[in-house]
Amino acid sequence: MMHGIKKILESVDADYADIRYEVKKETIVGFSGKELSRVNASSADGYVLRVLYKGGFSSITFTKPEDADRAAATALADAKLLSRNVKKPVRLAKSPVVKEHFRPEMSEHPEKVSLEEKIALTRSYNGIILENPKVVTTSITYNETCRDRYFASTEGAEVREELATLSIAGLGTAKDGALTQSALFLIGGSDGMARMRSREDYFYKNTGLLTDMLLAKPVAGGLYNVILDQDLAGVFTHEAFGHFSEADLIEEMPDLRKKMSIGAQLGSGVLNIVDDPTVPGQLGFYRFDDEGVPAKRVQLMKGGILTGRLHSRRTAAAFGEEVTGHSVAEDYRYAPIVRMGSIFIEPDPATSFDKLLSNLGDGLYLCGSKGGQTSGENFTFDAAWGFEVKNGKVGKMLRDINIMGNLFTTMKNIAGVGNDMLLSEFGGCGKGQVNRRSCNGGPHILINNVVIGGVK
Amino acid sequence: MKTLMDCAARTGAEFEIYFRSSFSRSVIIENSELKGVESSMSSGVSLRLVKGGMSGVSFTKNLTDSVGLVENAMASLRAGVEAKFSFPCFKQHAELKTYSEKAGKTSSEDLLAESFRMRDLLSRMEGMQINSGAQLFISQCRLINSAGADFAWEESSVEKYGSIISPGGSTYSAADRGFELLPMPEAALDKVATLFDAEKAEVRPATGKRKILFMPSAMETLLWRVRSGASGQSLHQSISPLAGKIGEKVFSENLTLRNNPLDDSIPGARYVDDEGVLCSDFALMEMGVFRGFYYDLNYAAKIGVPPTGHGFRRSMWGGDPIVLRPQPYLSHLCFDKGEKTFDALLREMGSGIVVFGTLGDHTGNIPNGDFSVGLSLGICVENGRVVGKAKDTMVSGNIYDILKRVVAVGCEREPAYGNNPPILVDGVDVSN
Repeated sequence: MMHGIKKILESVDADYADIRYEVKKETIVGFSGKELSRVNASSADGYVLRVLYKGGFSSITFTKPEDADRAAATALADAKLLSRNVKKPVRLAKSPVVKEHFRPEMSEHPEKVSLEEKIALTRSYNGIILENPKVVTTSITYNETCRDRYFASTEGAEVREELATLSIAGLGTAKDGALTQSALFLIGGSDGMARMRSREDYFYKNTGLLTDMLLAKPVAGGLYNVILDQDLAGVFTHEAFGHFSEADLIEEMPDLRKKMSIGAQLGSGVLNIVDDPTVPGQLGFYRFDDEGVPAKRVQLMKGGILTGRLHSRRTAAAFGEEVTGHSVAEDYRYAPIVRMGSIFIEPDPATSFDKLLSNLGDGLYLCGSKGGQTSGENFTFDAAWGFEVKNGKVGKMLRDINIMGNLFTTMKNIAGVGNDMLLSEFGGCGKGQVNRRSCNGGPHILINNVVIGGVK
Repeated sequence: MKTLMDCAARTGAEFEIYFRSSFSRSVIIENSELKGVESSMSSGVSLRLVKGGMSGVSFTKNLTDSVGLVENAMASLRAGVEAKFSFPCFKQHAELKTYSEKAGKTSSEDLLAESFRMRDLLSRMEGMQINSGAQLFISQCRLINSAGADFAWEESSVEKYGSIISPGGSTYSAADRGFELLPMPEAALDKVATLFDAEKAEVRPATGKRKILFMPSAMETLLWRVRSGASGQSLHQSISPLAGKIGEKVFSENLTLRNNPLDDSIPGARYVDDEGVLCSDFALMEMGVFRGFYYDLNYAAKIGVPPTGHGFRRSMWGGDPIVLRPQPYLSHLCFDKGEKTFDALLREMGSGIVVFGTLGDHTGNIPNGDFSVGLSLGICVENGRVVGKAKDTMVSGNIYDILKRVVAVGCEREPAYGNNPPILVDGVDVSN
């Protein structure tokens, strides 16, 4: 295949071109309540061609090999159109020219496990949730995505990387009278099938939560000091800060770009933030991004001071900074964009969870992520459940909790960072394309003055 | 296609073949400068089999191995996914406008010229970030099944937008959608600039229960929860708050809500769904009264009712129609328009918040109808006049509660947001 895609590149008369061919195999097993509702094992493939011509940088995706010539002609014509109209010609930052075939170590490759066994495993976890008499339905899906990517460039890069992402995830919904409550169930990773087994304790624990959530009271809207658990701290780091670390997002936003200057004091002194796709075994792991650039650990913030950002080759050149290997595509349908790999707040070994509670005094302890979103400087995310905290003691359970804030205000309101680091097993960032391997996490953190939505 | 049909027929199963080929082209301008020109050519085939009360699915992007595609679907079928339905054979259907020949001739240069024009019209906002862009979509679809159905349709659309981005990152946008590339009306862009001018001050609105005007660009906050509640899937799963309420008044009598794929005034009209069931002008709520659930083939058969023509290869998160299987979906959901202009709605509101954009529509207890969303763009109104942009504000409620208190419905529908009008609601919780 590498020979075939290099042949396509030869037909492009440009300053630079690269091509990615990818085979994406997906196995999906879905349960809806007791019923097996979906089983599908299919494979799809396609190409992404990018062309740089005199400062104009275009891309095209196509699925039929016989369309290669038309695709190359279209991409070149678009690059020429861009070159005639852009004020700032695109340059690509220097990157090592790599020739490598990488297949990460896995504890039990999912392709060696039968479909029947995957159905049985999913059925068993789904069955645990259904044991709760208050549960009226479930929607639990096993999802296995294997990407086999071939990348070649006119600079001579030839990279092949095979990645597999697994999850068993979904919702359990319980009902009591007119009230329904749902709990998320999320296990998964990118290091093989072994981590998917023997997870009964997790499913029993979250199923028990559903009963408690039916008895919980809705949170009253207002301004609170809060502790976020590791899951929510990860979502906060991703939504509130992480997206502004992506160079392509702030590149053409002059005000934000100025605020996000390297060296700016953006957060409180307790805040150290890292993005690191290179740690083996975690969900966001990869060796090479979709431009063939080796991934790097990036210290984004140290003591509240901005120290780095995430780049593609194009944005690295535009910012005059080094490449980091963070240009990633969802699959063969997309050109890559700048994405987080595995972003987290570094733990403070000196601060226990009890100390954070004591420092909080009165407020809320919020747990479990149900997703979030960012727009401009504002972010929002949803806590799956929470608790009142009075005099440092965790009290009654609360539900229906949504949080909103301004990035720059909230970063300065982070008053404490715990010592109990944990990374997520399940990703799902939707910045234009879905990134299932978007990993985040951190320790418990204490934030002052957070806006919580809810009834008065 | 003939080879695939023959292979599928040899299994003795009922079969359905969905073919789709598409082309898209987009131009992106950020901060007044040309940022990108991107194109995509994609095709694929999706196969469904039904045999012995079970169904199986498979898909491919390149139909080079019909036997392999059928074997994959048979392997899926043997896994035991129940199917109580048969593929239908409808023949008669409405003639709809879904495609413009002019769209097929739209070049990157054409999209670029319009994007530059929109940028230039907005550039009177000196010192502000101006974004604009245009995107062309063209697709051809064919749906064949073993019952004899054979439908083919072409679609074209051109979407375009012009936006002013505030220093804090709030987006003030005009968006438009048509079958072919037509210039964005200058008045729409002027309106954006005027709105931006009026909102330079940031204010913290009073909290508690307030009047909220949901603009078409923020309607998804409400519609997402309606889609969940009125779905035959939710009914089957016993999580719909609308169960047992057909014929009951659940919303204000000011609200009529329908899904009409036959409306070809905007792109995307359909005479059949993605399973070959005829579409109709389907009223979910008439003057606040719930009229019925919507179904695909699968959930209609499970409940024991006729399908309603709402089996689409769509999800709330978009996705590739070739990869997705049909499921109940409301593709053209919109409220009937009322009589009030935007200015009249502001006067009617007196004091409250106009919501143009929200954050977190996808979060919260959606099956229950609950929402609690941050405002990415909301403007505060006092005595019928705009006083500034709402700062760090959230609005919360439950649609089955707040939509009983609809004060008025606007008369200005927006094609870019499914032809929805603005809706003024009383008693929505505001926090900050």
